[in-house]
Amino acid sequence: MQRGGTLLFLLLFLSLAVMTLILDRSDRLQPVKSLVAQVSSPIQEVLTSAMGGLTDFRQLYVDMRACTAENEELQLMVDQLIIENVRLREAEIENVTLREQLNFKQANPSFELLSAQVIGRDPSNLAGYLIIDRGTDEGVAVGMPVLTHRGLAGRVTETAPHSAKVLLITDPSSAVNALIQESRATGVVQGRVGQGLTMRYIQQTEEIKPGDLVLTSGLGGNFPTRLIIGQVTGVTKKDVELFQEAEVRPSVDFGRLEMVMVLTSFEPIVFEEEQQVSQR
Amino acid sequence: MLQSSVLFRYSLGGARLHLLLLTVVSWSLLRGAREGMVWGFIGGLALDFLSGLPMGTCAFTLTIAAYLASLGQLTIYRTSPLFAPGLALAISIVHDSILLTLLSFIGYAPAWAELLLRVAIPTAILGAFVMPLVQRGLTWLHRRTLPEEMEL
Repeated sequence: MQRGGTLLFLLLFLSLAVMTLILDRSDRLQPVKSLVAQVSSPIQEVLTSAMGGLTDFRQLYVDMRACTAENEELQLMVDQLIIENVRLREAEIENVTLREQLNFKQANPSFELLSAQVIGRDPSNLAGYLIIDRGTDEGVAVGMPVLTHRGLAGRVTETAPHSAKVLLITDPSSAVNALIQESRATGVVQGRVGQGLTMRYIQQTEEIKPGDLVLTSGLGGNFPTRLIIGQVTGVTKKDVELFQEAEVRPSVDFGRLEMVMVLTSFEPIVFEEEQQVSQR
Repeated sequence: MLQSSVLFRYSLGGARLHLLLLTVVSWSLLRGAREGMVWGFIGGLALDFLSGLPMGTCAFTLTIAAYLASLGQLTIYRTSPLFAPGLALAISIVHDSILLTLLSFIGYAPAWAELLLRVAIPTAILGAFVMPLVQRGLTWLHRRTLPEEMEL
């Protein structure tokens, strides 16, 4: 009985649904639908915007996490690129230096040059010494001149199998026989504390002026001729003195010396031995 | 309102949560056919107002779904924890099939196979998973709204 009542109930509602369908298909329910829409649409708008905000917030959180991860990745990439950039910059600088050395070698084909890297300096900064990474095993010997493409840097004073000590021309104990390019006036260039040079023992009769180039004269046999030492920056001439002096600015930047060349094809003349040989 | 303005945003593949259907099925299991059909009809009508389908279609299908769900009250398996989800799965597929049939009758040309495979079945599976939660909530409501038993 109850089951029959339920079925009747079912038929009733299904009939109502079908009637609604028929009325709707014949557009008779339009006013009702409009009224319901007027009531429901504001509520739907509120619900939609609330859920939209929630969705946006959720998306914001997801995006933030993605951005954080991406940021970390990019930061890592930036760090790597900085390191790479530094490495490339160093390579570029080294390339420029080597190219300059190559040009110097090509301009002086008679020179046999051995490139060397500066691996140490005198820590006290009082003495003008360098340590280079070439030694007797590479053909370096005591007395060999050390140059850069800009000019004379110094002379090898001590050697080891894979390194050598170089006395710079700016060291006060260094002395290089030199001449002024223009006037051919000769003198001796000595080092000064503070990486400067002074050319001494210049005849009073010689005319020298600031800007004149100072080259090695070859006298004494310690250095080859015509290597650039520096440029005259000032002249001290006193009538009461026997000789005049000139301040010389070295052509080599000793503060930034990283690579040098050892002139291995030059053998300095040692006069004591020569005298002994001649006496015999 | 929730079905129309909120739940449509969330889909798992082609599956969307048909909360009203699950509610009707669950209520029919709890309160029987008549009450289930009443709420099925009213809920279906409300859904018809807010959806783009012709008026009466959801009312029709949800009424039938409510009746079919109420038959579950008579089975001995109704106490099984898998019963309600299984029933929801079956009725969801039947509901969608009836809906598609009705739409075909009134001049729509639904893509049967695609809609059944990509929408109806995934929706039914999703509904089966969510059914225990819905039933728990409605069971609470059922107990709170039960008429007081007369003490004899």
